[in-house]
Amino acid sequence: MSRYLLDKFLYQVDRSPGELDAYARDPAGYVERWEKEVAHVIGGGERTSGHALSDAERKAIVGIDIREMYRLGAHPFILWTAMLPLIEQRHSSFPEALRAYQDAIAGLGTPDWST
Amino acid sequence: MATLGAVIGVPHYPFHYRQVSAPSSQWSSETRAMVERGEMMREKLAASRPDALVVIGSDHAHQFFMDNMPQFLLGKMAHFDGIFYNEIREFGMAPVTVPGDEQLAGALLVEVLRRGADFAFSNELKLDHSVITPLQFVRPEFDLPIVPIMTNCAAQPMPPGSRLLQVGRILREAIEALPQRRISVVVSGHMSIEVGGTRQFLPGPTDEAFDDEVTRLIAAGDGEGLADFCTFERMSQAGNATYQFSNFIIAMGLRGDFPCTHAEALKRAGTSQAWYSWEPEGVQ
Repeated sequence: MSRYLLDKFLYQVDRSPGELDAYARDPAGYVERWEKEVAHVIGGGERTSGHALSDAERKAIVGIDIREMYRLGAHPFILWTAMLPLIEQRHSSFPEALRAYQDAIAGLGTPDWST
Repeated sequence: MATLGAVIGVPHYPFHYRQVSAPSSQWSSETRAMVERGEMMREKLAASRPDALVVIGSDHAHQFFMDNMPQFLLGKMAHFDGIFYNEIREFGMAPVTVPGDEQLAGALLVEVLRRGADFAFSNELKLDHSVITPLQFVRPEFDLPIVPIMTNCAAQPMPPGSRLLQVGRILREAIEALPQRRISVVVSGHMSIEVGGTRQFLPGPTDEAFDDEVTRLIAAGDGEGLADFCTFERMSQAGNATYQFSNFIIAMGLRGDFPCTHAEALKRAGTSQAWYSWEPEGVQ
């Protein structure tokens, strides 16, 4: 389990439209590359080895499974911001996109999102 | 010795910019109320005749992440760029540039450190809506140099209320120890609010009882009471992002002997909006 790395993924994928599009186009390929090339890089390029995505986290990210990422404790603020443009692609208005997000996490309350 | 002109507390409701970009004939009553309050605070700030501003905001997981999360950070730059990509996308905000004052920022940092608040600093800080939206309300000309201070509102654990109050007091002393300037402080934050959780965008305030109680404590000048009331647990109960209220606890330390001249939880859908001011005795 690495809630930190789940958040790092969502944080980084939301930095530019190119990253979000690439993720949405090919989630499995994008996540595989990200884990290899980006996940463990800090600051000016040094690498760390202290975190690894759990199988459940990887599956949730690859599946763009909002409910599961939320349940696993993804930072709600970061999850919402990163997922909104992807949901909006499938809905014609903000209220509809909002409803889709709220339906996805319905009944889950506030999972522990500390890292 | 520098003079503290006023402490102005405003929301950083990020949708405001888009809402007021529409013709005023299309504004909702909620938008009109926000514009009116913003204008009132703009006048209060102008009346304090500042030559520089300290602006206290909170990075919303934009520049800062949990690899390196400062509790308090001061920005030292000659000018700052504002608004991140995902704020343009989500809120329709426009990038802006804000003047800074490296010398003033450096001097303030030294005075803060001398008094026991170990602020981090950044020589490459980008500002998000927590600083830009307040300036759009109270100094839309973006003509005064600012020293931004960012507090951690994004990652657990955060400092307790007692420390926020103490940091506010330290900031007041540090500002007043600076060489001859007139400095006013703009503080921004949220009241009860949920972002990305099951209670976001409700038809009314997220936790009206929280909003009313903190506003009562602020109006009563009860900084200790506010710090005691605002435990992490109580704030979380009021919404998963309510910790963004914490900058107003700092303001209660900063105000020193300034009476509260306005305290209001403006009720609207989703989240009440915080409008507070503290001005020298005799100012209405």
